[in-house]
Amino acid sequence: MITRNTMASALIAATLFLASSAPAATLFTPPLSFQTWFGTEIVCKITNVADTESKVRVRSIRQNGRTDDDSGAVVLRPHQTIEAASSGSGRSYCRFDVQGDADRVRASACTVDVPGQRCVGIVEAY
Amino acid sequence: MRTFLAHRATETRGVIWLGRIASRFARALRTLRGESAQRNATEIRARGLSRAWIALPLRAAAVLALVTWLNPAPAHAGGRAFTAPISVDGEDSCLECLVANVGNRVVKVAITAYDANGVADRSRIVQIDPRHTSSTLSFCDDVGNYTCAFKMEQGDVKEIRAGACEFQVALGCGAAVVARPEVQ
Repeated sequence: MITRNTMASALIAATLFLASSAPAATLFTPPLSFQTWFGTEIVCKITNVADTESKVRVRSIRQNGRTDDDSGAVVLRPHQTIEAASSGSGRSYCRFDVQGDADRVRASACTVDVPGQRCVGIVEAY
Repeated sequence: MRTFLAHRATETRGVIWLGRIASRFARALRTLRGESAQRNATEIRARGLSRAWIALPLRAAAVLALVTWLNPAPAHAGGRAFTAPISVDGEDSCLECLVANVGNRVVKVAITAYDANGVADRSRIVQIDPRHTSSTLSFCDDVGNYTCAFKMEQGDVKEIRAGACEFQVALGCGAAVVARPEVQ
């Protein structure tokens, strides 16, 4: 009986472990410089290019390692895009956490000219 | 005297008889103990096996979880990354070579900007803490095409993300390119 209980516990633990270690990918961009007083900020963008929902998280990280903006865990519909931004002045890079394969998404960091909302400089994450 | 001797003989016989009984009892006890020990050993072995059967995958899972959690840096180290060329005019736009440490340990990177002739124009070595971005290698007084090279002095090229950008004073990074690790 004890052995059965122990085996059941082990199976539950193994299942939980396997569930918690579902495949995940992390993508990063190189840093970009920006100066908000001239009207720019760094925006981290991610699009779900899979045919099913994807769980993602976007963070913009300042040169001192501090997280400026964090989307938290978000479930993206197919082709949906979300973003996180750094404003102020300095250099920031983007971190993208994806549940599942990295090929499910495309992600980038972009220097956005805030008044026009256009990307004036862009780097893709890998 | 005879009575005394007879009494002693009876006593001696009694002692011998008692000794025999004790010896038989001890033998039986030893047999029992042996059987019991054998049974115990079998039980312990079976229990041990079942515990080992359970403990082994659990231990493996724990070690794997720990390794995943620690996310250790790659065992190998070194490597280089290069950008595609990017042009600057030396007036409104400057060249910036940027690198971030996206790993979990301190890295040291030699940043070099090469001009179109392959001459190392500027160079510097930066040490970067985990999750930090280095100060940039930048210059504004030159015109032409440049590439940025990032050579790992400490750490692995997979632990960094680097690039070059055309830095415009009134904007920040305009055009930008990613530095890709060289193919071995």
